[in-house]
Amino acid sequence: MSFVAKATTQRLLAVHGWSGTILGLFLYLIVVTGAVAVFAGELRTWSQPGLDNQAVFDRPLKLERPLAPTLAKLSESVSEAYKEEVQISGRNDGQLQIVFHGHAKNDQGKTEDTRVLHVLDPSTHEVLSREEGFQSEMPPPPRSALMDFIVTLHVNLHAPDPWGLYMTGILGFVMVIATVSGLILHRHIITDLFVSPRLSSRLLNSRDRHTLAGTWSLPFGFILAFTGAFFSFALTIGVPVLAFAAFGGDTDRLIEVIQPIEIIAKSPGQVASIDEIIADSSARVGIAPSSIRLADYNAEAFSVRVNHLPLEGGINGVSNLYDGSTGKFISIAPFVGTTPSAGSSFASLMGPLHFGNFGGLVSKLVWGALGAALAYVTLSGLQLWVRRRAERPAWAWMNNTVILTGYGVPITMLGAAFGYFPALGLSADASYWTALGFLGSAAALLVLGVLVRKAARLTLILQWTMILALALTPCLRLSFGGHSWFELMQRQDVTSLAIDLLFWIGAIWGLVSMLNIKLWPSKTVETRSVPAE
Amino acid sequence: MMSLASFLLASAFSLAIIWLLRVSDAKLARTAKIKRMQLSPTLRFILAACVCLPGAILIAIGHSGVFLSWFGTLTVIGWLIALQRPRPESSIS
Repeated sequence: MSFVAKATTQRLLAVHGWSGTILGLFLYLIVVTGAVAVFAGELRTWSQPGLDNQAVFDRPLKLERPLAPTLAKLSESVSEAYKEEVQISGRNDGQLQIVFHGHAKNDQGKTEDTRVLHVLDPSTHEVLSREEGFQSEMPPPPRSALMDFIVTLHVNLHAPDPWGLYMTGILGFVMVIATVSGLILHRHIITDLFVSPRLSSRLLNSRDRHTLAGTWSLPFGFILAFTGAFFSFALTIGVPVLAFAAFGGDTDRLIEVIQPIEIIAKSPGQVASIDEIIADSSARVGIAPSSIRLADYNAEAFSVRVNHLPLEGGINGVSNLYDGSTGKFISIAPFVGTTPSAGSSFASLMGPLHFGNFGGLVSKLVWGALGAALAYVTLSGLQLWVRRRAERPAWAWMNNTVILTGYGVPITMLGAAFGYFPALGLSADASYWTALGFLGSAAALLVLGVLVRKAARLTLILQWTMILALALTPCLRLSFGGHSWFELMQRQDVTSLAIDLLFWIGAIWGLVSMLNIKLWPSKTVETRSVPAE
Repeated sequence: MMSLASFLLASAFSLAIIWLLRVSDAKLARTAKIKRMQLSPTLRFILAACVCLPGAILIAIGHSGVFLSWFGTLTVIGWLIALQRPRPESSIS
């Protein structure tokens, strides 16, 4: 059944194909890095020795002793100018972090966030380090340069802001367009849901593969593309436009309105016990908080916002709001604004729907698989578009470009790891060597693309390169100071162990496919050609 | 743990029905030249509705996170089930 006229269908097909062809290679890069970025927490722990088993965003705060005496003691040593806000959160190295915030003019005369950053032992509350100054001068939190590189590549392609975000936002919209136009174009979306790719011709097989993958991944293709575009454009365009329309361009004023710092009650001189607030909030939600924010800590009355991760089976976390002076529970804080609204509920869904981090490793595995399926849809669509024009010489180079990008994106990410691990082991600048590893492998692939013109030979070289890179990556991690498997077991870090094994399983699978090794007896029957429908 | 169990149960139930719908699919049988399990269109419609049943239950009991994981699993594994080319001699009649 066709929803639209033939001429419209042809125009839609042109939009679907050309938008995908022009930006499809970048879209593929974004989708593949996104599928990897889903596991940023796990890969961070895997790639950087000394980090906690669970990423800070995946676990509640480690509160092993009362916070109130520590907060009072730290507060005495901090100037009033830094007490606009206090944030208590965890760190990826397992330590506790208490940050006092303020604002001051920097050397360029611009107002900048100022901080006093305390890193504490969660068991003893001993201050391990104290840093004071502008936000830009603060030491970076414990991190993995490799994962930072891959996540940034996904977020803004390492282009300067806001241009990188514009680019990824546009790519998100391209995917939305491709999804919607694909839905309209597919005339037999229900009846073709179970039709496995036909073997009558290579072109028909390519079309069936692309259509089948596209049809099944349609709902999440739309969701992931839309939420991705939302994140790219919300801050770069949405906030400035709203600020221009409503507050004469004052974005700070806009943010105060959409995420207000609540002044709730006036009880001079009174400070409620933060530990009682935490206990009450934990009892209401059922789990310990993941972070705490004390707004207007230097004022007579201040508010305390206690944030919790999603409950088991849920999507969104809960933020409870308290009067900081009396400790009285005020309300559950909406995501945006001061009162619950449809807009706030809609905005609160964007994060979980895009990151898939609401249900621990299970939801992340599902989101990673969805990312892989979408990468397949993107690449198979490109291949289909190119194969339809295979007889035109000008399109031959495009075929090789698609092959090069298809294998090249994972290979260059592994190339980044090849730069990262030795730099980590030799105490060199890991960020620099990660970028160099990525760019170096990308340059090598470009040269390969120029030198090898035959698509079959190019594919073969790239497949062997990928197998080799997959096999060597865990070896590099283990050789350059990464935790050994024994140490990982002692740290109960099963995920990192599994990641090492997955690399080798990938390499073995590739090897088995390449050498056409039969692991078990096959009953394959020669399939007859069938006419296209 | 509770949500993991409900996720696995819901996914297994829906995927089993997706497999049933596949082996009884008329167009697949025609294009792959295999015999298919004969199911009436009404029964197939009921089965298709049953695929969505765990999702509706998960939403009703407020397990929206499990619902999303279930839905995502359905689209990925459903695609992998549909991608497999049936072997003529293993067809279900």
